[in-house]
Amino acid sequence: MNHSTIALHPASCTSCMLCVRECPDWCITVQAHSEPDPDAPAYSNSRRQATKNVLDQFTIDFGQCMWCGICIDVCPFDALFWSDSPMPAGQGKGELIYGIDALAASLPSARRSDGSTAPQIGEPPSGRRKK
Amino acid sequence: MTVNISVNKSEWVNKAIEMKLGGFVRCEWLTATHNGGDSFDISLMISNEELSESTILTTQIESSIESLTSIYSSVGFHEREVTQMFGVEFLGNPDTAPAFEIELSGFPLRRDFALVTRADAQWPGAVEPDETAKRRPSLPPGVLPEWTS
Repeated sequence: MNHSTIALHPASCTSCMLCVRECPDWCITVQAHSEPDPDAPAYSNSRRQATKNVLDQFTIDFGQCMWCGICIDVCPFDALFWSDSPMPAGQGKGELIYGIDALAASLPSARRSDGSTAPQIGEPPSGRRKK
Repeated sequence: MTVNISVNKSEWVNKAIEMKLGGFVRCEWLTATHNGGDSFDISLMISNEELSESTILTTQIESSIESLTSIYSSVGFHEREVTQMFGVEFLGNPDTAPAFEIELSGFPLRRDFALVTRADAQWPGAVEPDETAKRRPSLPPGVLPEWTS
């Protein structure tokens, strides 16, 4: 099996926590908060303001990751990708914990399962997120 | 190419003899899977190098099975490993020494063996992004409640 590294498109991530909960190694952490969603359609009978999750921090500890790809498979919004960037390396354990910026830096060589290129930083989410 | 064959426990030794006579002379590995309770699956991978073919023999047992050491001499170590890790007894294995020189309390590869690192670590999936959402807290899969209490 050939693999390289894992990339994150932060704008596609809805902080749904599926990858965190499915990861067999517990190597993903997500910190997010919810805030009112101004783009949500207003329903006259709704008493509650619609909220959306905002991603604050997303880390993958590549020192623990075993490259199973389950996080990429379960992501319902196509925010995680296999990337052709080199495998992470470092002098110590802490250097293998990649945050949002480091994960997004692998996007230029990231690809979808059908072979097409992944969205880049600045591009809107192109996953299966509902409008 | 690998072929999977399931056999009854009573046919385990005879099937291994039959396969060895059929050219599957090389024992690759033997391992077990704990299905919970007293149920285990024992798997043996053997290969025929002339045909470049491999076969995985699998059988379901309850805590003991006949040893295959009289057929494949190299399987002895794997049987001792399964004995130490799963608590499965192999009847007729002449070497009963533990495979690894480590002190173990219990059988680490059984499903009910408490994983200390999992009990100590905080599960990252317990976080809820939307604090206002009232929902039942998720529990980490594979971690039994009694480990953490």
